[in-house]
Amino acid sequence: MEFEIIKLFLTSTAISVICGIMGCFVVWKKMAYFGDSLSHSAILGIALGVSFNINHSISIIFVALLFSFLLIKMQTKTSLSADSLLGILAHSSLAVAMIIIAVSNKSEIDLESLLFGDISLISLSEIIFIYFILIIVIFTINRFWQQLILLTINNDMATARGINKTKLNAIFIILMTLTVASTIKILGSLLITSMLIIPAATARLISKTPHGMVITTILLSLFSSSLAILFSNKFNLPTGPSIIALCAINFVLIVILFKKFKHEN
Amino acid sequence: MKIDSNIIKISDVCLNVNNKNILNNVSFEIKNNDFLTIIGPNGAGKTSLLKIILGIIKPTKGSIEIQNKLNISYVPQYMNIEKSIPVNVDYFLKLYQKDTSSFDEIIQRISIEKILKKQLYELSGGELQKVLLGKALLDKPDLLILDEPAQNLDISSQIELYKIINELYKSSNMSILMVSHDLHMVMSSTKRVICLYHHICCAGEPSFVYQNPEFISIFGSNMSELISLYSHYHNHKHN
Repeated sequence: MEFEIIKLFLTSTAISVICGIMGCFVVWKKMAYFGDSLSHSAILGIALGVSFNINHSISIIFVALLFSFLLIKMQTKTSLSADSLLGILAHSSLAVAMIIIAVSNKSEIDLESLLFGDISLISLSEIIFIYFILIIVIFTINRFWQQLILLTINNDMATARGINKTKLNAIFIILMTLTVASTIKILGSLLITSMLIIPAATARLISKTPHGMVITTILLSLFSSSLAILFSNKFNLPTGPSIIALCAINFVLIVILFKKFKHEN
Repeated sequence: MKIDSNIIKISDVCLNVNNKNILNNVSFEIKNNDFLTIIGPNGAGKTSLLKIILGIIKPTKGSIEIQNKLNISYVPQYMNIEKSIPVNVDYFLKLYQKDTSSFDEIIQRISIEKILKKQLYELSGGELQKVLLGKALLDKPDLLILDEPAQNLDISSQIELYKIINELYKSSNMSILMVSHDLHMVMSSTKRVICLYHHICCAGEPSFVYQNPEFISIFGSNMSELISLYSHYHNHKHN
């Protein structure tokens, strides 16, 4: 039992840091719908992985990268807006995934855990994989931090300073893909975006700098996920939804406190 | 490649987007300590031309020769600052900046020392343009490129911004390439003007350009008369 709890804390710590960092960029770049769509495509990755006996993480990464590639190609070839294209790709891949799951008739696919995740199912090798992704995310973001921030503020200014926009956007998409691949089993397709957005949006209300916002987001995520693990363990509640519910409560409390503080000043 | 006193030489540049000619055989040079302004109506290809020089977009045809180790800084068009990212002026100025040795001097020179702690989205249009100019100057550029720097600014902010740009030009060896709609301001301060409408309609000193038939056909005779009056006022000493 104790080992299980340690496993849960180790996992939630890693996903809090990964989603905390990437969530800030999702909020800054207004890419919430992209994150949502990517997590839908991850279901297709799992369906293909199960059908063809491929490691799920690999099939998710493959499908999510293909999804991003198709999105970029379609953006350049059509006059449709990004959110329309995301809608087409996300829901088509979800539909195809459902058909594959129905046809393959594999009992190991649990639709509920695909949508809402199940942290208790996580294996030791999967925890190691998440920490590996965590190191990649921290190293890459740290390496390209200044370029990414300038690119987020103004594309042209960044490009005129020699920043390679295409390369950095590709790096960001790859990091998002790895984030989704490493967290889908824990949070599920429907809750990943919440973990990316809610803590970052909460932190935005009380942050003055990008660094400050990332650190606050990570702390808020850690607080919510740790508390959710304790609660869900004690009251036998689903962990993923408990984490998101606590993130949402944090958001509401901080909005109220922030408004009160502003009003008093 | 040696380019005499030219720091940039643009030769026969064409830009075609979706079968539409944006730029057609555009050729000109920018010299040392030049102050060159590109004017023209909306959609004439002015910003595209700047972006080609900056390497942001590639021309369909033509060449751009840039002097070796030329340091170019760019002040973009008025930009919308999103509230989603918390960045104050101080953080923004130092962001992705190798050399900040002239930081104190520049913020005093363009009078932004009092707004360093303000968030970018809290700035007025005039303040934001000064901050963008300050960031460009931190690079100690040989060539400063400004894309409609006074767009969306009220008259007093426009006058203040152009005054700063003029003072910077006069007190340094820096060259300036500017795109502008503000013909009055342009004609009174710039050394050379290029009137662009997909191709170069006319080019030369301001006093020559505003009398050119192509300039008059684009901007109208009223504008030409207004500028000539304005120019007359400033070109003569009154006792």
